[in-house]
Amino acid sequence: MATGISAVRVLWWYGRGFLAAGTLVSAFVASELYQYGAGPLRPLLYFKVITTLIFGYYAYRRQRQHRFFYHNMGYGSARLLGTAAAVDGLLFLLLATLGYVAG
Amino acid sequence: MLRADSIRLSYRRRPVLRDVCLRVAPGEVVGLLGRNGSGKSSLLRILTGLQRPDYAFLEVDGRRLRLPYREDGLINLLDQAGTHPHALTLACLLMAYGLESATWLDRYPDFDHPLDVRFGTLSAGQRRLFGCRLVLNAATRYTLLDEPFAGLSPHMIDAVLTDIRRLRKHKGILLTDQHYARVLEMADRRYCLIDGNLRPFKTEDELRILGYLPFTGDGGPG
Repeated sequence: MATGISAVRVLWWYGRGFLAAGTLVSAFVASELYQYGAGPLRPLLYFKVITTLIFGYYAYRRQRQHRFFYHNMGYGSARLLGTAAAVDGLLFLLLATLGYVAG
Repeated sequence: MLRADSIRLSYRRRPVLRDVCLRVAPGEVVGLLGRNGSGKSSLLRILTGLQRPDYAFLEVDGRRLRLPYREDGLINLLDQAGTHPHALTLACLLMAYGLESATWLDRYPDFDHPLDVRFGTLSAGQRRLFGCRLVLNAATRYTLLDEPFAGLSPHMIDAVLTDIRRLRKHKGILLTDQHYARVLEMADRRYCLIDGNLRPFKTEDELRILGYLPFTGDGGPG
């Protein structure tokens, strides 16, 4: 059932914890790139990927019992989690690029 | 009309639903009974698209649907096991279901919680009642209620029944419950899920014959 509610709002309800944690990690990576340049890029990328998987799993588990609520608004949990991950990835790219360029 | 045909579901090769066929029309209440673990909740989830079956043919007004929940204003579900997010405020939940706060307060003058409190601050029974009322009042053509009376006090059960009576004119309602008397009372058509098959019934005696109710001491129905 779609109720005309904004998709951004639903995404925020579903993934705000995931996005907040992901943004903190992205900010950390950006600060490392700012200080040390592209040297530690590979371990930082691994760090980002692993933490994203952990936060994604946690978000999925946390929202599992609310799945029917998001379905009632017309959104599947895979779609919401995928969109949250895409937003997190874009934020990461933005922050990492800014950190590298500024450094 | 919502029509489901040939629904098949199995868990680890154990068949749970065997070619189940069901239809719900707007303006009627369909009752669904079945023992614990008989597949009632799974059937409701399959009807909304929340659970993937082995096979299901779902159509609404002759149009085949794979994920009914994605259709505007078509269907919603009150899940038995699930709950609404505790972190959201009541006002957010009303907004999520497209309901106006003022209309809500007018409709339920006995509702004595401010709408800016979080859903998780309500008691379990109050959460269930609020969730029931949300899905019932939302502007969908079909509402599926999975054991909506579980954990509710008699007053709250009466409140839900009143809502169902009021809203049954506007939507098709599929209702499951373990209290068969309420299903007998509320439903226009009644089914019992036995061994993965959906069996229609009309009376309490038929429920005994189907094996849902135990026979009384004299061995006969009744």
